[in-house]
Amino acid sequence: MSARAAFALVCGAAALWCALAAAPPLLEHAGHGAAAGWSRLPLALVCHQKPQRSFLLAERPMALCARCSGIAAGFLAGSLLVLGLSVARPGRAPAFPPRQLLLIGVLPMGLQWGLTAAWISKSLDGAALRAGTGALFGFVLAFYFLPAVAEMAGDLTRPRRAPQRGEAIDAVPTA
Amino acid sequence: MPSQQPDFWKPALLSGGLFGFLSAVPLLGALNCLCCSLVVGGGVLSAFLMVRASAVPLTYGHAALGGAVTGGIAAVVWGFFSMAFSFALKRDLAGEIERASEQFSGMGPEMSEVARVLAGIAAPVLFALLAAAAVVIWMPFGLAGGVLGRALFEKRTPAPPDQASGPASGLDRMGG
Repeated sequence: MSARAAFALVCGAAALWCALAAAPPLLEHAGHGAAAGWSRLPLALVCHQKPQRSFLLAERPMALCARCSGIAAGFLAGSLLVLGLSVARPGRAPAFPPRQLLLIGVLPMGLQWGLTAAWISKSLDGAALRAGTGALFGFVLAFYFLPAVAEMAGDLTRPRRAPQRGEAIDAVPTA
Repeated sequence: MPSQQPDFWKPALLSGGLFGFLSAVPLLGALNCLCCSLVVGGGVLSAFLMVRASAVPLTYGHAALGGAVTGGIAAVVWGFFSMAFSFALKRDLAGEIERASEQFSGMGPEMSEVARVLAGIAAPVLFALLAAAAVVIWMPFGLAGGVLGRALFEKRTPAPPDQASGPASGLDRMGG
């Protein structure tokens, strides 16, 4: 599998995840209540889905909380950017960013969560701030996640090579 | 994958088993509601164990693979121990589901209907279905944990491609 195909696959999955988060309130609004109820279930495995901590769509809570919605949206945006860069610069492999960038992505979300969880500052508990710090984390994560998936897919799909006469078994790459 | 990379099964089994079990522990398992933090933590731990066991710098691809397997194992272990805890603590699953649906009454009456259907499913079948769904959903989260763990713990610089003894990675085939 080529890196670009892997990027496209992750972008599709991220878009599906965002659609799953937005679908229940829209389905309810359109009168498909049962489908809306069932479509909330898969995301309950990763998010508390508390209505009071979620954004509203069509006056109904989304299936992900504000922070998780931010992470999903940021990740989708980052994934599309990585895919776009790979299309714009064919033949040039995206490099993994330095780990400092990851800290820049994690710190605001960690600080916001830590300060509000420790009751140091309730004013930092706004939905927009939770979503914004989550979006920054998701956006940064995509720049590590997509190349890692491409590298993993490349490793897994590389054809095995039979060992040559006199060649150590260990020297042969395994899939 | 390059043969020099460490085995990922042992770290994945260890961290997936540990974090799957923790996810099943009542109250503690609620940490997964914080963006699947326990599953992501499992992926981070598996990457940490692989970095420690590896003589060469761990690649992101290998860390991602180990993290994804960790997420899948955590889901299976979670399903098993959730059922075990449920029987051991004599939990009233149907009642709990009904109460949860009341808590989420703001989402609309259809949640009560969903809860009624779920409450009618036998506990072993329900846990098996949930675990199967969790395998699919938790694997990407474990993968993310593996990538985060690689970024955090691998401080050695990978050899340039022309010096690396392993084969070219998938990233070298961008044009395809």
